[in-house]
Amino acid sequence: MSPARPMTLQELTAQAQASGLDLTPVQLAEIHTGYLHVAAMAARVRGAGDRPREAEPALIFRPGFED
Amino acid sequence: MQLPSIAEASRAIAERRLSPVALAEACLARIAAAEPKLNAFIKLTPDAAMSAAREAEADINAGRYKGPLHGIPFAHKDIYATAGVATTAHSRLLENNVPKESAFTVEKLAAAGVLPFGKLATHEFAWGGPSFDLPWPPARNPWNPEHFPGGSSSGTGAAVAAGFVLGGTGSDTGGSIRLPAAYCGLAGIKPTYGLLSRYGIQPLAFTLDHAGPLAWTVEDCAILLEAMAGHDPRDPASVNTPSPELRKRLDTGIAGLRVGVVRHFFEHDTPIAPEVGAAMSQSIRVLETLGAKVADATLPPLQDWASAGMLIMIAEAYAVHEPWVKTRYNDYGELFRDRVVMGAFISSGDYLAAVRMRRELRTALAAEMQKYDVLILPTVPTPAPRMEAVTKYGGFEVPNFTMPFNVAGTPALSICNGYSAGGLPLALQIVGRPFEDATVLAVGHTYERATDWRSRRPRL
Repeated sequence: MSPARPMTLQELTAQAQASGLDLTPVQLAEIHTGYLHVAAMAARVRGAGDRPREAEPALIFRPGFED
Repeated sequence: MQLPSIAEASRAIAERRLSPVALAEACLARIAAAEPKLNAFIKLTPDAAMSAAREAEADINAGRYKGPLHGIPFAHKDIYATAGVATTAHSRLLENNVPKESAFTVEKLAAAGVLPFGKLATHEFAWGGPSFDLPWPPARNPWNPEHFPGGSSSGTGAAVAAGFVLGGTGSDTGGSIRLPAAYCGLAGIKPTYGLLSRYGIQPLAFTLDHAGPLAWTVEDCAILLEAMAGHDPRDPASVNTPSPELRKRLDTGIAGLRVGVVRHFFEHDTPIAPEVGAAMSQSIRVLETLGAKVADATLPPLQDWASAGMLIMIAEAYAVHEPWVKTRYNDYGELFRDRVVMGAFISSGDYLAAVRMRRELRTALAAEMQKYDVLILPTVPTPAPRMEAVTKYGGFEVPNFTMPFNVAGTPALSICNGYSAGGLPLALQIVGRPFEDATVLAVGHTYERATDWRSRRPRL
């Protein structure tokens, strides 16, 4: 699950390091400002409507080898 | 030489009133005069263009006319692979990349006889921006070089509007054909997803990427789209349907056509400039005069489309770039790298929620489009901003009017519908049902013929 709140700069820094990203403090601070917009978009798509837990995504696997 | 459209030039070439060599020379002269101000090209190939022009002229004189693109000056966005010609994606990371094989659509256009003028500037990997920290400068708007040409097909927008070439290729993941078409006063179509193969085109986001053309008129776009279409099993999304007959449908008229105005997008969800609103109202009046039945349409809020589209784009782009993001971060330009890295901070749950929402949005659009043959709305909320006004995260903050139709995969065309007081183009977007690209083009063509916006060219 996504965090209930957006990550702080410190949490984002830790996740960047865990992901193998080598970023400077200046870069991380800048990225965090953009991340806050992305976190808001994620909250919006997760919170929209009363989508059932088992809802299929738009892209599904089609059986057969024609693809 | 008066600058012709592709359709005008091809008629003159077919009737031997216009020499492909003379046309190519005229375009090269325009490039020599104005390219230093516009930076439309990453790589200009004048020798290849002139050699092809001479060959086209000889073929046509010998009765071997190939069709409406034979002898037409043309160039490709630099994410389209061109065999033997560097394909850089406007990035330091691919500075020395010379493909052995051309993209499917490049081959199709070459077979149709276009003259290869070279490779056009783009935003880095089709998502950067007007960057000043890359090996090549950003393209500028021919209507005013202090202003943004749009992107990511920025060089194509600049080159076609400037008359350097008569048509060019673009790609569109969230608006990258329609935005430069709008800001540069051109016609540009993002066709139905699957209609054109993306094979050989640098991917940005697999399920949102579309190839397509930009040109001066809608008729030119129809000519180009017909030439570029065709099934290609190397692109998993490529549909195996007969190539569309688009040009034949252009003059069928729009009397009785049902047009839905997605008014809440631009009157509530994302504010527009007054000039854009006035042009929109005028466009509606023109369509009504031509016999269309116009009413307001309602779709889910624009922010839903933007959120789902942007999350899908970030996740899929990160999947493409992750190895380089981890090892060569600083070789990217700042705008691209600080956007694509967001993929490291969203979860699989976020991505799947976006893809589930995509199904819901497509269902809502399909239901609304049972009432309408096409939807219309502005392509952009303002005329082209100044270059320095384009910010790194502006696209995250304000939903645009183009991403919804990448999320839906429906055909969407941008055409010029006027000019601002400052002389910059304004634009109308026309959206159709899947695989009804011909209807979208017919509406755009009919509108273009009923107005005189195509009589004005940028003064270079």
